Amino acid sequence: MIEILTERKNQIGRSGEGTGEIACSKPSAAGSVSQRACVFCGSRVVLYPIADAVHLVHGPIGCAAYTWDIRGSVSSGPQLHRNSFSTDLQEQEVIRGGEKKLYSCLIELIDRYRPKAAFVYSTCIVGVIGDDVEAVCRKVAAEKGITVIPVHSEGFKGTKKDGYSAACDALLKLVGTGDIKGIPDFGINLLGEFNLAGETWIIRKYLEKMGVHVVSAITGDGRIDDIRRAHGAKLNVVQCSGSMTPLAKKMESEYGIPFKRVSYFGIEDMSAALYDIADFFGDAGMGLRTQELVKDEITRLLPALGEFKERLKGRRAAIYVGGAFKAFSLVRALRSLGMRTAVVGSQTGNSEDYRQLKEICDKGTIIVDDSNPLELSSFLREMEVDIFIGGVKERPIAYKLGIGFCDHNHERKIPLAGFEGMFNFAREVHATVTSPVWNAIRGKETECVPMPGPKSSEYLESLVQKSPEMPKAWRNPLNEAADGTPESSTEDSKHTSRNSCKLCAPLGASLAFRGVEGGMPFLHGSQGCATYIRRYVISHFREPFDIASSSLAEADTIFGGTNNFGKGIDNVRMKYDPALIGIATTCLSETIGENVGMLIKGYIAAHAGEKLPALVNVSTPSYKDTHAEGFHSAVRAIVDVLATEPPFMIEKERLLILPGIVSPADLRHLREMAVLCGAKPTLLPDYSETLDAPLSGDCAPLSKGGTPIAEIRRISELAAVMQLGPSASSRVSAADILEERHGNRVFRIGWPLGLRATDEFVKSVESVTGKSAADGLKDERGRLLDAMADGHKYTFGLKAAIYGEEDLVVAVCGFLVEIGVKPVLCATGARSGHFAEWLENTASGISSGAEIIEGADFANIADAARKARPDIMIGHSKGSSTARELGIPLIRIGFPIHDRFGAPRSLILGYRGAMELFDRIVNAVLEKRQAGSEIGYSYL
Amino acid sequence: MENIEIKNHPCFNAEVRKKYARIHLPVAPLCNVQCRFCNRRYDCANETRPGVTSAVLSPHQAIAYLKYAHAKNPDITVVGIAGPGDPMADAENTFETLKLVRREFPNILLCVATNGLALAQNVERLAELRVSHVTVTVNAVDPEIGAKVYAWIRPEKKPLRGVEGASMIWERQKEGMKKLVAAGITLKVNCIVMPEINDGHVLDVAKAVKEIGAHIMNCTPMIPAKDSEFESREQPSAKLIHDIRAAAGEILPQMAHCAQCRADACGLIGAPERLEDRLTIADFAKMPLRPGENRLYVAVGTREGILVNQHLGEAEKLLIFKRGENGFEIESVRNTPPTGTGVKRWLDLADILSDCRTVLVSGIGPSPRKILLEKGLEVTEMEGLVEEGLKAVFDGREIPAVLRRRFMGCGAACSGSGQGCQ
Repeated sequence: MIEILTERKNQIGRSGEGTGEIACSKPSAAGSVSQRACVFCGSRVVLYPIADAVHLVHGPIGCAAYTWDIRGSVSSGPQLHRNSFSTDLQEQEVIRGGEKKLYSCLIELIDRYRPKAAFVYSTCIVGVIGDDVEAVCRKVAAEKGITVIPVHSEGFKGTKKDGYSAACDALLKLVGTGDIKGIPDFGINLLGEFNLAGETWIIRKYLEKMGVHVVSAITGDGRIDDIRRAHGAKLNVVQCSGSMTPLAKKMESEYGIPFKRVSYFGIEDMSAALYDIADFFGDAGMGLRTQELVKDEITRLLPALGEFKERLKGRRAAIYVGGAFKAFSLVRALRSLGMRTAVVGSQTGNSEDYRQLKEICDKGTIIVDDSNPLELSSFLREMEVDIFIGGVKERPIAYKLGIGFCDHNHERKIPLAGFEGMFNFAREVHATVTSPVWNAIRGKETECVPMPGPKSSEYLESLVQKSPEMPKAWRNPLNEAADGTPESSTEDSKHTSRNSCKLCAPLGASLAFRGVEGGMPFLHGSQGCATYIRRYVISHFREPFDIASSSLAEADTIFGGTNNFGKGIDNVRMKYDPALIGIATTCLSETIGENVGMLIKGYIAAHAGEKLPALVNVSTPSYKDTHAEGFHSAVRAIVDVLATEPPFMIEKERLLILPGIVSPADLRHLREMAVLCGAKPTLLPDYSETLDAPLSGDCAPLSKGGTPIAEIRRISELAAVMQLGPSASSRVSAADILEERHGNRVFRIGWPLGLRATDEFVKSVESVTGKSAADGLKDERGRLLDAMADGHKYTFGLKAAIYGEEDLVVAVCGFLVEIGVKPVLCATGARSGHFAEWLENTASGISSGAEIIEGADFANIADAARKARPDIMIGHSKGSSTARELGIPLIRIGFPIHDRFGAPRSLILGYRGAMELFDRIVNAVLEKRQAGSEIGYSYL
Repeated sequence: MENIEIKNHPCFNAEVRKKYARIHLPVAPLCNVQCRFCNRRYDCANETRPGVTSAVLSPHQAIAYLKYAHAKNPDITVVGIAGPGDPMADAENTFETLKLVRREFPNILLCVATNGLALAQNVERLAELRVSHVTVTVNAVDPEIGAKVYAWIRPEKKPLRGVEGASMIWERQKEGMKKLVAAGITLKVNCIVMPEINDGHVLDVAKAVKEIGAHIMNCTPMIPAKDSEFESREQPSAKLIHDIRAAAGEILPQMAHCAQCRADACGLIGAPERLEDRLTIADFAKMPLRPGENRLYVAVGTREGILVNQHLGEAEKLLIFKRGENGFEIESVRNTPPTGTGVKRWLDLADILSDCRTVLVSGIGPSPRKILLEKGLEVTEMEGLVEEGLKAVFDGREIPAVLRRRFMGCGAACSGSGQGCQ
């Protein structure tokens, strides 16, 4: 295995060594797990912060399933941008064209939310099937009298940067259409400032004090009407120049507005930005006010920074961020904390950037362009850094190595811009670098670590006094129109997916592939899919999760992806040495008609005589399937390709469990229960270790664990196969294949969640092994019964809304019925046509009292919940806004959980899992009751 | 112990010769040997050969020059002293310079080239300063031949000539080289090939110095200097040099990439010397012998008094700081001379700041920099906290690299396949 791909060697350099230029601006190599995203991602991050517009993603659901909350640009007014609207194209529409649906969705959304404008984002598929998006937009604009702007953001048409420029084109259609009368003299636009964690507000506060008027912020806390008037400004101030330079240049040539590039990070750059603006206007009064402002801010800040510096002196940092400008600011900011930069890289720098970086860095500093997880972790180790500064995709790498981490990417939830941002940065760095957990990890004695001292507290107090009022009461973004009034239509939307309750199929397949020992997921398509999926999975599991991509570009979509495919597989083999490469298609490769089976055959033929990993492919178009179906399809494909050996000897106590999408803790418990019943179980997939790995101080390319391939090959020797959950059965499943091919005995039972379902699981295993369950398991059953008896009054009569994957909802309902909780709303994003039937089988009588919705999105769920008035909600974190609106507790289970901690350890299966779920339900109810009582305490 | 990477010497390791640069500091004009091919003229910018420099610097001037050159070219890994005379014959200047360089650049490689006559008594001091590489030029080990090479040598006060002188220098060279080897210093032996004088003798030299423990040898062609005794002699042919190197290579590893550098060479070996650098060294030579040192104050171009953030050309006022008992204090605020007076403005400014070690500003044009420098005022460009700049200056350290400039690159040609800055 090699850590640096040969074709990337000249993208890495060391300061003080040689004059060799760092190669950059190259598209990512196929098969390397780039940290980059796609054109769509680039457009979306630029435009989404515009809060009073409808943002409609035209394509299959996947792209829109990765929602606003990843980035979290905040708005002080309308919340419309936080919704994730999608045309959710289905197979038929992919075949016959999506124009009609696009039209209907737009009309529906505009009627309902009365936006100031609408943006329509084209995804890969739209580019391939050739919808005339422009024409639909024109038609709707004419009918509805609002601006509807198509954004050409097909993922394969380039890189994220092309997405920026598509967004700039879209913005240019707005700029210049407003009335600029009455704009004050000292007017500027803020370009490339996206109000992450409220940063735009911090900058605006400084500018107001200087006497500068912000005509429009593009696009942080942005408004359509402001952008229309942007040409009335005298100056464009550009941050994140990569994204906004095209717009700034266009505005310079069309409206004669000059621009300046700035950075708001660190004391020096923030001050320089303000002075640059003041110098531009050349107003003496403004000059003085700026000096006073800078002086006041820094004078208050420095003593507090001094406290951190004392404790951070001499520590070493690694930086990996989007652009070189920010990297530069960070090198400085770290220095002002007494720290040294040992590794610095960016996704997008150019050779001039790297030359300058080299110059300011100490000798021996590693400088790198467009890196990947493997490389990064080897640098972190080599340079013995104390902290890694990057994005959330890099976070688990740092933590696995026992290194501190600071999120300085667009996902950050703490404002790091401006002077107070510098303080926050210091606090973050201090918290992670000096934390005692690293001592524990390295087996060192731990002392009581000193916390930031009095000067930091003083600074914080001064901030509170000086801060502007920050917005605002929380409101459900789904419920109100752009102007803040309630949404106008109460009718259910017929066409648009509004905040989907499903994820895309390749995500599920990737999960399954990581549950095979040495398994590496590989997406055949454009690059954004892999990056988005990784972002989602990593935040849930908090584990490294590499997905390779064949990174198809525009030419490949025309001439076929054979080249990229082969190169990608080569690179993955070289870097990861995987035992299995799981190749999932994406909407793009499905639609252009890539035949992955043939590609694999071709690859194998071209590499005859070499030791190849198992190559398993699965078809996972998101316009057809959800993530749950993608998962089942991948499991089926693994079995189909690998489980071919005929039995040598049937082993009586061995059985295969096909668990479905459950948590790592659930997987471990399933195994434990089976063992207690005398079985030797094999789980497929088994990501109990790969996605919940013990910390080892190491970050292996493919973490340990997973179902061994040798075992999968000889499944025929297993006495029985247990397929858990009904949803796998809606199509030909892995169990079906085994039954037919080898005659394995198959049990098709529900998830063992709750008393009866776990009993059934235990009995089934017992019937295979011929042994009875050990006392330990019987005791746990007894304890569950005891808990149910003790707590029955708290749960009896509660009304619950449950949503998520079909298997999960069905299983949870089975248990709820046992404890007297009444499901009033059961919803899933899938459309198997069997949901109600499965529910009725598990919890008989349920359908009479519950609203059951297939193909649900969160708009449907919220509508139904408002009618059904549940007391609790049970499901993943995307339901949080509905729960919050209804003022009821949300018990978080399933995938994804992005707003709470510990998801991979959440246990719901078995007697023990039921007990834990029961406790959580009871306590959530008690907590709510107590919070609402004046006494606030109740003795039970 | 600091971290000195001895592999990074471009003269000793052909692998890094295109990667790392060396700088020669011309601080040692005195010599104790008259070689018959040599004429140490100082001011010839167009010749490239040992012994030539466009100016001689004082040790402090040399440090100012080195800092300036190093800021321009951070790939400089080696500081050598090669004359224009003999560094060991001019030991005071040489060691003063080496000491200052070591203080400012703890990790840089130090290198000295000598005829070896005054070497033995100085090896201990070389080792103390962690000089890692020494070159000794041995042209003959047979006094009869040596007598043809050296017109005279002057070990102490009295010059010695002929065979007497030649045997003395070889004895001294042997003693010095043995000490070097014992001190763990890498020893290179240069042998200047002179047709009809010592071209048949080079292999004897190689054998003799190998026995002493030399690590590498450089057989280099004589360049007869104008007005020297050998002026009209033939230079050795390339073939002769090649044959000699091949034969000597059987005995000792040969350095074949020697470019016979000037005593004030700077940059990559063999790379064309740039004219502007040469002018710079003359500028430094015109500076006061100890620029700025012991002056009490530092002038700062700042808008609000906390950050160095004004271009000297735009500063109407400069803050004058001194080091007080409780940190840095503002001594005064001085107005800069009015604009529009051309060169006079800078001459006046130099007078106004004649008690300042340096002036910290965010930028300055090339010609004011030159004028101020000639008047003995160094200008330091940086951006960042005033306090950090003052600390570096008053502690006699370099301004940290990260403060030396502001980032101007990103976006200017954000050609990137561009994933953006957020």
